[in-house]
Amino acid sequence: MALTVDLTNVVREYRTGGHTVRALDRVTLRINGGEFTSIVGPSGAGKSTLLQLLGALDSPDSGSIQFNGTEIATMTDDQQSTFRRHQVGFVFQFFNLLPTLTAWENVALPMLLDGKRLRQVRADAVALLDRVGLGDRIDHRPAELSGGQMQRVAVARALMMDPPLILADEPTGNLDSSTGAAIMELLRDVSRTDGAGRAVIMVTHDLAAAAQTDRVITVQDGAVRSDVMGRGGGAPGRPPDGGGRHSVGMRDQPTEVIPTVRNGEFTSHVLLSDPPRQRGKHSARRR
Amino acid sequence: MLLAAFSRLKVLNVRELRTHWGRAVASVVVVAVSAALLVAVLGVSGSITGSIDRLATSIGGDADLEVSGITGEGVDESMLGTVAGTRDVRAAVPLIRTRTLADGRPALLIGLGQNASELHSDLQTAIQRQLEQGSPVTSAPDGVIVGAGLGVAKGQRFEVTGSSPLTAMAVVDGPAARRLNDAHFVIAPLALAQRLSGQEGRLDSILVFTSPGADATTVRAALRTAVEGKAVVATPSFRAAQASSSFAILQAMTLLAASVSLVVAAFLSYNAMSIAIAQRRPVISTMRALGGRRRTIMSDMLAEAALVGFLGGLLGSAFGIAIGYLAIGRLPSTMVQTLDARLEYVLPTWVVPLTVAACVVASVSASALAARQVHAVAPIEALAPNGASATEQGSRRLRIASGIAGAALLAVTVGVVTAGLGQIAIASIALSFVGFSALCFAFSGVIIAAAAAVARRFGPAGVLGAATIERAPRRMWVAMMTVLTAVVTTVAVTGATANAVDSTVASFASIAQADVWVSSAAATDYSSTLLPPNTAADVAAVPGVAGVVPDQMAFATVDESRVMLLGIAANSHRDIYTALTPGDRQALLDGRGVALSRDLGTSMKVAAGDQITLQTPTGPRTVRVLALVPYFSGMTGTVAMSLDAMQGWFDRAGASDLEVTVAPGADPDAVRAAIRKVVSPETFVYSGDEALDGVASALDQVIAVITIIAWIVVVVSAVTLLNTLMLSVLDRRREIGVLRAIGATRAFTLKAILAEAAGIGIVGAVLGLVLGAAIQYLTSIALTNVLSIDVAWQPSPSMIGIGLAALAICLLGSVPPAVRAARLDIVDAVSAD
Repeated sequence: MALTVDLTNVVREYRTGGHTVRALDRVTLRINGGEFTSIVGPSGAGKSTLLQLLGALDSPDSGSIQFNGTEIATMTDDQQSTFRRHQVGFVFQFFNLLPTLTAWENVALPMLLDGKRLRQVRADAVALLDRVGLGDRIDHRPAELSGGQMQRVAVARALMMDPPLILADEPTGNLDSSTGAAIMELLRDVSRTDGAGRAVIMVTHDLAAAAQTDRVITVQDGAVRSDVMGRGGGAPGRPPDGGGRHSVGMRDQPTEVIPTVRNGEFTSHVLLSDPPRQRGKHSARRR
Repeated sequence: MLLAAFSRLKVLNVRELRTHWGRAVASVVVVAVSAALLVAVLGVSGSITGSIDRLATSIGGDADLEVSGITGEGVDESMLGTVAGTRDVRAAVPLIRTRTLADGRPALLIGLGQNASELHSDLQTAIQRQLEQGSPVTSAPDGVIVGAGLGVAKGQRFEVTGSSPLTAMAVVDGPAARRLNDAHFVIAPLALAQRLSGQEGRLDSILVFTSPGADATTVRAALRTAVEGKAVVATPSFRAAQASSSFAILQAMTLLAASVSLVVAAFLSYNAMSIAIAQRRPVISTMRALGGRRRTIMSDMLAEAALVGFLGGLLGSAFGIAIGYLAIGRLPSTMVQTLDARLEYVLPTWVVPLTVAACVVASVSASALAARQVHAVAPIEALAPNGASATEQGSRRLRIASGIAGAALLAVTVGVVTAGLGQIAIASIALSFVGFSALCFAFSGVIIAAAAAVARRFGPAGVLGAATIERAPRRMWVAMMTVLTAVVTTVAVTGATANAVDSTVASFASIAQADVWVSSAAATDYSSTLLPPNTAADVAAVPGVAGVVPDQMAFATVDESRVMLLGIAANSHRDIYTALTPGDRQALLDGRGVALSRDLGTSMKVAAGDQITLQTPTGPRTVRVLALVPYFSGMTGTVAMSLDAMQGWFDRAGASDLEVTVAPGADPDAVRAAIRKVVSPETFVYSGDEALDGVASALDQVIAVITIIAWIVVVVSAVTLLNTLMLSVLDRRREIGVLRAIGATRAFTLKAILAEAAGIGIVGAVLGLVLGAAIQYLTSIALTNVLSIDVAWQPSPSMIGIGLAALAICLLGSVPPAVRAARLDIVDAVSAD
């Protein structure tokens, strides 16, 4: 069954020092399996909050998040843990590998947390490491790996439970550009080759990286400002689902999205490779 | 599921312990200390009672009852007929059993009569061959059977104390012989044994075998009537129960140290777990993000704590067995003097499992409180840079509950201690540690604020240190409690022990007023044997001797308990006599009453003015209790009476001690030397001061054990503190890097961390001194009940030194992390994750 994640009027607020900050403001959005999606936006826009809610790391204050028809917004902590373990794979900016575990043990960690014995899952972990090009590093500890290698281990770990959703938080944020590109390649490969159902969602400040994805969701001030299909060359463009503020849909037309910042405004240029039926500059004022 | 849990424990938790092995070792060591103490004290007490029991069984087999002397002089031989003639007594086997020296080696002298074959015991088995020959034990007039443990060969001539040479007609070995005093025995015909032990016409005991189907209780009552109160009629196991009383004091003090160290171990386990969770917060948040349940992570942490408790318990048990084994051969002579059995190390089988279980429970229980912090680790923290950890103070509700619990525990402790419940009161002191810790948690806000205020006093660097303290209140509280625990333990335990020893020695102070003591035993021992006749007259005739006051000491069975008897004459310096009012002293000397030590009065449930009946070899004596006197005897109590009464009632003519007054102007040393020349070589002569020193030296071993425990706690606390402060620095690498980047010097950074440590150390030390003094006070009350003397609470000036030492350790412990912080590379630190 193809993955579908539906967010409907999701609100998340934080209370700090007597003030309330609305990190997400009635966001409505659909994520589909097979897409490699990036979420971009300035600092404090709500990108990470959106990622946290998608991954059930947190719960919204209101609204609905349906994961293949199952509501995850109101799950208990234990239910969220089980959900994350089986349905989501995480790739973190700072790799988050356990320093005392070897590469294959880090990959096998989700299985360990699922009640499996390490020995039982070694073969699967080694196979995943092989897939990400680290077949000769299985017994190395994180301290013995480069940044790019550590992130590859993290990707392998994210795939260990074969989840339909991969969430990557700034996966190239701590890497140089060539290593980052290699990781992007890996993530794209993950979204393409593992059947039509797996979705990869990446939060990034790296606009060049975002441009390589199938879909770019721009978030600002807690709202989705734009939601366009990118030149990722993958899944055909499909209209994003409406309901949020300033959503823009591009139908069945390959496009190239060039996000930029001009005069203090976060802007994305949409360039169409075919004669445009619709061309425009989309700007979202930053308050 | 269990296998999976074991897999996680091995991979996740054990590796973390190995990475931070210093902290792990410290945790294991502190648990091991308490385990070692528990096993040692239970091993020693088990060895004493076990050895006595084993000997009793080895000699008497399945004897139903035993008739023995009220004092060490045994019973008249004529009582054998009375016992044998009592209804439902099938056999009455007379015995001599007494300690002696065979060619200088300690041995048990056993005298057997013609009906020794009735015994059906290891003794009978050991000499079976001789019995089957149908002869008396041996056919030669000076022939004896010896155990192989004495190293005497068959046919060899050897000597027993005070005898002419004997001949070893047979040497027996084998399992049965080994169970009998480890084959260190000399078996002689009854008459020969009576002569060798100086007990002609007397028996040490009569073993009674009842007729089949007879009720032992009925027979016992009948025997008591038959002996007319002139002997003790009890089951053979009563000797073991009596023996344990000689160990009561050491047991009480060591149990105090063991229970306190177990509480301290639990607290340090709590600390270690708090530090572990703080340090592993990034790992925990990652596991949560990956789908690990809180329950799973928490149970793994508790399994880790259980492992530490288990390892500490096992390690400590091993040490405890070694300590107990060594201690058996080094017990104070006052504790073993009354035992006729050769002490062998016997550890009850339940001791090690119970100790390990107690350590596991303590470690897991304490860690469970800290492990709850796992609940506070949110999975979204995995998205934050590593090392940023929130350390809240703890919810207000939790602190209120902690305050209530702490107050309740303290109230219970005060109640138990003031109710005079003996050793239970000692064990309850450990509760006061828990109570005070809970109160400190309840007031953690105030305590942290105080530490920050102290840190601020150290200038601009102190302001930064104060900010650090206020920002991580829980971690700082843990660090401070580590200092506090070390100070409280040292002050309370060593202080209370010192108070107990000082009070005990002070209670005997009057014996130092005698110029010279002439005694049948050394100053460190009980003088329960009588001096040779004419000793008093010989001493009185020495030039320079102005007066001689005799007294007598003996052990007796009162209400099946082993007590000390003191026969007092006028002008005695014995404290139990000098503590009486002049009227009571006269009444005692006149034989109109006796004085009891307070502990004996409590156990007999009598008060001044009550009548008690004493069993004596000359029949029961009903006397009035003149007073209950605080008096430390090291047994279950002391009965003081007039010397005349003791000599008459207990058929013990003579004296065991002489208090000698030197004439004015005479040289006490010269008089002492002259006295030595006129007394027998086995008689001891020492000054009043030496007599008092002898009392104190018996307690020195206890002090040494307690002091070692306190120092171990201090060292472990220092290691824990170092870990906490190091973690604090590591957590703030980026912050420190930013400070350095904007111009803070290395010296400033160093001072800031030292100011932080000073704030923690000063407040922790001051609080520790106050709480330590309070616990010391409670302990002095508890010890008053156990030791039967008034233990005076005296805060020692050395407390100040302890507080300063704690502060110094805190500052020294902060130097490595402070230096590390000052030397951080700015670029690395600012970009630290």
